[in-house]
Amino acid sequence: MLELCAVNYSSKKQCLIENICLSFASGKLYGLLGPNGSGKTTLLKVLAGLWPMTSGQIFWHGEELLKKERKEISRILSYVAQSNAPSFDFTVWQIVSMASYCHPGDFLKNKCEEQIEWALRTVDAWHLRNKKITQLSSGERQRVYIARALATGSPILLLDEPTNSLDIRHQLEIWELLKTLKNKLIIASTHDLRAAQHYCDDLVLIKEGQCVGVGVPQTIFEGSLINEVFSLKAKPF
Amino acid sequence: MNNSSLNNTVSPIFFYWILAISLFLSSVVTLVSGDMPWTAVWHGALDRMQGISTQWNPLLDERLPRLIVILCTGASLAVSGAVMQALFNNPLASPSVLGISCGGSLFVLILFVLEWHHDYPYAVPFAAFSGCLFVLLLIYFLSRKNGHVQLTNLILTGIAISTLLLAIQGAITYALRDHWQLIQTLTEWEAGSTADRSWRHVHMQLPLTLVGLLGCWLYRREIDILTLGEEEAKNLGVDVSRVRWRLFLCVSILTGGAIATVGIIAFFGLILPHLLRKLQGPSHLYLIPLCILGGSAVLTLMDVLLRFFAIHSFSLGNLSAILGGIFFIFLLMRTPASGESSSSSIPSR
Amino acid sequence: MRKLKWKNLFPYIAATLFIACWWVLAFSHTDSVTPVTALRTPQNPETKNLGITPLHRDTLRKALAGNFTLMAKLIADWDVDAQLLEKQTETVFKRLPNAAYVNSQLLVRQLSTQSLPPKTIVRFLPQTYVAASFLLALTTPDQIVALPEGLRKQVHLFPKEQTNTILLDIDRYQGEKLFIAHPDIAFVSHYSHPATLEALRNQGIEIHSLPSISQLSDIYDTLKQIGVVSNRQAEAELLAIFIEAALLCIDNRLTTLNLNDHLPHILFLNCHHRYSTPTEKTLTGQLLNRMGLTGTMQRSSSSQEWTIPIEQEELIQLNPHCIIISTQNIEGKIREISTFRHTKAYQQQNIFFVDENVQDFGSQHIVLAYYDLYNALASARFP
Repeated sequence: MLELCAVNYSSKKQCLIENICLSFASGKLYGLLGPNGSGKTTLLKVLAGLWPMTSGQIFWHGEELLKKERKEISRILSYVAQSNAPSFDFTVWQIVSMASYCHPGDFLKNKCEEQIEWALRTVDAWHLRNKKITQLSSGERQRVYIARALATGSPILLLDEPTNSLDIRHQLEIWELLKTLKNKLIIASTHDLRAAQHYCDDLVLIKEGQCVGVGVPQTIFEGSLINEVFSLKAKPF
Repeated sequence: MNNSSLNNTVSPIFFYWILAISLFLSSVVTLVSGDMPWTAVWHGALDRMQGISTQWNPLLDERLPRLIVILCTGASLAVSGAVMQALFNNPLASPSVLGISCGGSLFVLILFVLEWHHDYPYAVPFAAFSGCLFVLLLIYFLSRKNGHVQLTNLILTGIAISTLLLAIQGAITYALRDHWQLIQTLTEWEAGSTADRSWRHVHMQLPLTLVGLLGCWLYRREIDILTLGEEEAKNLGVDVSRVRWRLFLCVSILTGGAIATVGIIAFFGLILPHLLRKLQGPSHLYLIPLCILGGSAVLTLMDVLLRFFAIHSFSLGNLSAILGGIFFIFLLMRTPASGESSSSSIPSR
Repeated sequence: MRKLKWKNLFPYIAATLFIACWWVLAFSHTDSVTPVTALRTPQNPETKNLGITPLHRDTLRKALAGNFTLMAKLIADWDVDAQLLEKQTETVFKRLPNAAYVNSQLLVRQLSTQSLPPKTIVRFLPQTYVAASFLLALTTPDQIVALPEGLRKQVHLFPKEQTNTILLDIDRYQGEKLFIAHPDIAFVSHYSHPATLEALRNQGIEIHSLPSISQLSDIYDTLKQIGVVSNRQAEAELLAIFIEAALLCIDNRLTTLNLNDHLPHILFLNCHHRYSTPTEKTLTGQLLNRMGLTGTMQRSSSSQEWTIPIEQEELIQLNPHCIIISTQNIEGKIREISTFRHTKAYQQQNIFFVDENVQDFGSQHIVLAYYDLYNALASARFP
């Protein structure tokens, strides 16, 4: 169980995340929805410990998550950014194998290569393993970073719009994959409302840095909340 | 790890061999060539080693320490350049970006102006190292905001400090322009030279080089991950602030040691690691040893060539700066206008 | 707030200890260096035995500063000395041509009786050290508007009592003050700042460009030019004769040392950040050539270099009997004597220091430069 208690994040100019209290259960796929600038990415980065929250607490199985050592945090959760333009010509294999850094030495000896191969095959990137990351399309890079997140074996996955650069086939494959990872807690922000409705177990609505609604997709989409959050005049579908 | 996935185009073994052979030949020439005939030198060295004689021997007292200093300097500058390029996520960065070299240079300049180097000859390496470290600390604390250091702040602060230090250096030089002997001394020192290096210089530089290189080597995995950016590195479990600080310290030690014993040698911190990365790939598991080998080999070769052609008008620093400048322009011309991220950042010396 | 853990501090402590221990072990023993005596006053027995006048540096300096009576006296003394030496040793010694000697005596009489036409008051602005040096000798301080700032600091050549009467410094930021002082003539060189030259022209100041000093004849030409322009031809001519006479006198003193009998190897070194030897392009190199000592070690250069760097290995290979080091900081360089401890010069205590400011000055003080070289050799002990 991942719990957020009164989490706030402010930059100099404004409060980007305000008093968010949420609970996430393991084994579920959560969709994080909200208009542009609502704070979805901010929330994910604060959750991942990449940006320091101004106040609040985050618990994982009752223990404060972000007070652990960085390696331990990385063993618990993995974050996949929305976009990442690499500067150096690492190969796909090298990029994915960086997932083993947070694990102790025996992991390297015993499970590392198997884990990497499984992760690459899962996202259909095995054939790209010897290519340079800078030579891939943005969609292919996205799949590689998802593979790296899978390769860490962390029980929590935080995905920031994981399918925004992918073609329709790979979008569906990724959503199907996320759905099958029953042993993980997955929080994925997305603008694809249909996919969120179809694949996510629960949805979290964020508007102007505040959580305005949590519930199963049916409840969320049947109500008027979705219209209010996205300032829609009619139902989205 | 799957080694077959690590190579880019040409086998790295080929480059290792080329550099190793070059290093070996240059080292042999450095030790063997000189003004005294080799047979006399060798016999003198043997006598010294057997305790028969205590006479000064060029091989043991000048050529060998000079070779060690050159090897240390080449390795130090190449590795510190590679690490800086990784830390700044910019394949064309170097220690000079943060003004570390300027700091060391300024402290040594002040030392010369005060003429303390006459009374305290070991003050030069101390000043160089202290200057590098002082600037590093200054930049670090100036760029901290809310207890964290952002890379953008760091780079901007480094450029500002570097500009300020160069301005101070220029002001001092201008104020003392009448002291032509001092200006000549400074010119010779700034040009970079490996002449008359003794075991004193080896003892000053070698422990710094060993510590610096060991530190960079121990953090090779972290350096790889840091090339992806701070957030990605944190995400993958790297304690970014601690690792970065320690790597900055290593770079400062390596750069300070090189400035202290040889002077200012451009090119190595910028172009050499960049070229080696193109040949070998960005993994620091292989890049760091290659930089050690390549830096040592290239600097030794340059020194041998300068001595062979008896070019007194050029110093080692002049030659490396000119070659580096030409290579830099060549690289810029070859880089595509957009798309390839390796050249998207503004390159800096 | 992160707590400092022992394991976080360990790398720093370990690295610091490693480096500190290495340095302590490496530098804990220091070479005990016996400083070699610096320049000694010459006590050449031959000089006394030969009955020639003693040659003192300070006397030369006073004469070169513009004491024309002293110049004439010394010229006369040296001429007699040369005749005495020739008589006693049956060797040809150098003397001024008779015409020059007579002219020198005539000039000093004219100057002392003020039988020359009165001088019009002209004010000068020397932009170079050489021009300032000559003007201080030829003219009175009230005729000099300003001096280069660095020249004032050479108090061993230009006493403060003399330079303090000239209040202004040659400084681009004092352009208006210099203009108010109404200089009539400015002496510049080819390396003078172009903007300064243009400003001087715009202010209506007459500009005379002096040649660069690369050999002895350039010194005489410059002196003559300044003499003509400043309407001090007599003084300039006398000074030129004195310079020549002094150099000849020192030549004769060097001959009396009979150094070519010993064939000592003499090495002259410049030192800035590293040691180098001057080539014949420098005045010092030409003075060394003038000495005519077969043992003088001059490394030839086919290029246009002024100095050739020398490394310790080559220096030890040359193994000179005598080393003369030109430096500005004699005290500091004495501490570095151990560099030469494997040479005969060190073992025989034949390492001498000469003032670099004098060696490279290029004015009438070339006499002092030559004297310093002679003084070193006269003090040396050769086997």
